[in-house]
Amino acid sequence: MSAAAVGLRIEDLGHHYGPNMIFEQLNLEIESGSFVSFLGASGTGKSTLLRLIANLESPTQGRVVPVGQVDRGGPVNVRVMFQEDRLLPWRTALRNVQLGLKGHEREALALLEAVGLQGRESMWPEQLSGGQRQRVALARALIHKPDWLMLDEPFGALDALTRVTAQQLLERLWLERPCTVMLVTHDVEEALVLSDRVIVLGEGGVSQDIRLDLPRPRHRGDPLIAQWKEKLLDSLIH
Amino acid sequence: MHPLSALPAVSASADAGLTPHTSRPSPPASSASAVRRARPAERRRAGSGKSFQRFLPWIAPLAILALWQAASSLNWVSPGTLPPPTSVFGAAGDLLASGELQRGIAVSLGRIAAGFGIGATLGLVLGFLVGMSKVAEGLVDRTLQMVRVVPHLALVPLMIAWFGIGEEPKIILVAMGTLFPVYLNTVNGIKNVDARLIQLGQAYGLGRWELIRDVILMGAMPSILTGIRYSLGVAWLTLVVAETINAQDGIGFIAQNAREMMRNDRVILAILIYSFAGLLADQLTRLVEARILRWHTSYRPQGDQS
Repeated sequence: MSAAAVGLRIEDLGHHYGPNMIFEQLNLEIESGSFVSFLGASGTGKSTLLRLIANLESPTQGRVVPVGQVDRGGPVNVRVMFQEDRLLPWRTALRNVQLGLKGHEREALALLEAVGLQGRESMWPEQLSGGQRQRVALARALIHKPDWLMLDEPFGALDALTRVTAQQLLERLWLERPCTVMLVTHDVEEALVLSDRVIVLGEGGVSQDIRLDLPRPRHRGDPLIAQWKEKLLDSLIH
Repeated sequence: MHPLSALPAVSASADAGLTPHTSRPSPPASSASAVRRARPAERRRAGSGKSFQRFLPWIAPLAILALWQAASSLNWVSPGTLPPPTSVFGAAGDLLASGELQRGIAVSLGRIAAGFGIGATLGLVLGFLVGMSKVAEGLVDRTLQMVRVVPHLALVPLMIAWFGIGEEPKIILVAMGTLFPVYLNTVNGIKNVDARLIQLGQAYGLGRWELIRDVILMGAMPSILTGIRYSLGVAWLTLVVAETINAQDGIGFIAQNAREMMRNDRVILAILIYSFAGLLADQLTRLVEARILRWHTSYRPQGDQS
């Protein structure tokens, strides 16, 4: 999608927790600037895969290689968002977005505005709702202009309506700011509405790899999404 | 935009929370205008109810004061045994005029400051090291836990034997009394900092020092401040004992000296000064808590949105 974004290649990736093999010999290529979702039943290693890609954990075997130009000469800029917002409760919304930065107040304020929180920058996390806190966490990730944005069930704890709003916001922000997004979710519809590609993890590896070439912004009512939803739910249940 | 204006629902509920106990007469709900007219009256009644409520806690102390005064004025108790409040105030006047009271208070405050300063600093530093490092925990914790079981006031005779009536025994005793509450709460606070926040700080590129200052110490702060508030109470208690048993100045000396001169009014005065000093110290730490922990709901006055 954009020359600035960085893709990745997963080569023979395998991971064990003690004697438990999570997956083995996983090979995948993820295009730069694409939005990829990982679905799968619990225990198929979605979150583990995300953590390995984000380098929060080292794989037992194999490796993850960035593809494309990694500018700034440094390593790939990866930001992770979790199901819990992990905001520092003793910092205001603004100062949470500024975490790890010197200054950058104007950018932080602009991002808070972009996530719809203008006027709330001086509020404490405790004073914000769950959805608002996740939006602060999103702003905090985006201010670093990540090459890879890793989302581990970021909207899993939100109520249905708030979740839809958050998904639309995420899609819009991603369209404005090129980066490769990898989303782990339990929500089939969320994956279908947001992704260019849905990867379903099963026993020991990839069980389905679906490409969705639908215009954006996506609509939940799209018949193709409804069809895929049924098919995917079927395959996940059986 | 001010955050208040963005949150009408929250500030409204906070308003309601300010008057939780006032009896609210139900307004006549026959028409909207009747409701509107009923409101100022309701507010006035709620207001007077509030000032009445503010007065409630003072009834018992004032009654006790009156009873106390009556006890000696009506000769139920000999004024020599229990001097009336008026004599206590008189004693305060005399001692203020002679400058003894100011000197005594200054000396006692100095001892608290020195003892608490040393004890709390040691407690903080040791607590921080033990909370952060397994090596420090192995080296220090067991020993401190063993020393902790010794009631520090049991050391008074030994302190007198070693240091006589100098300043050292009082300061050492106060320091020992304050060290452990601060130490234990600091260790506890640091160990209970959410590991996910530390992980997040690392992921967002915080350096070691920033991580300690912005995440670990801030996360441990509620617990540390609890320890400090508790240890200030212990500090005053320790000082009372230390000064009463052996001192040549300070509030405890005033009490001790007065007892020898059969001046119970001065003894009671000294007791009251100790109480007020303890109360003041507690209020002061509460103010500090309210400032440092203003991000925490339970320390933020209701309705304050910033």
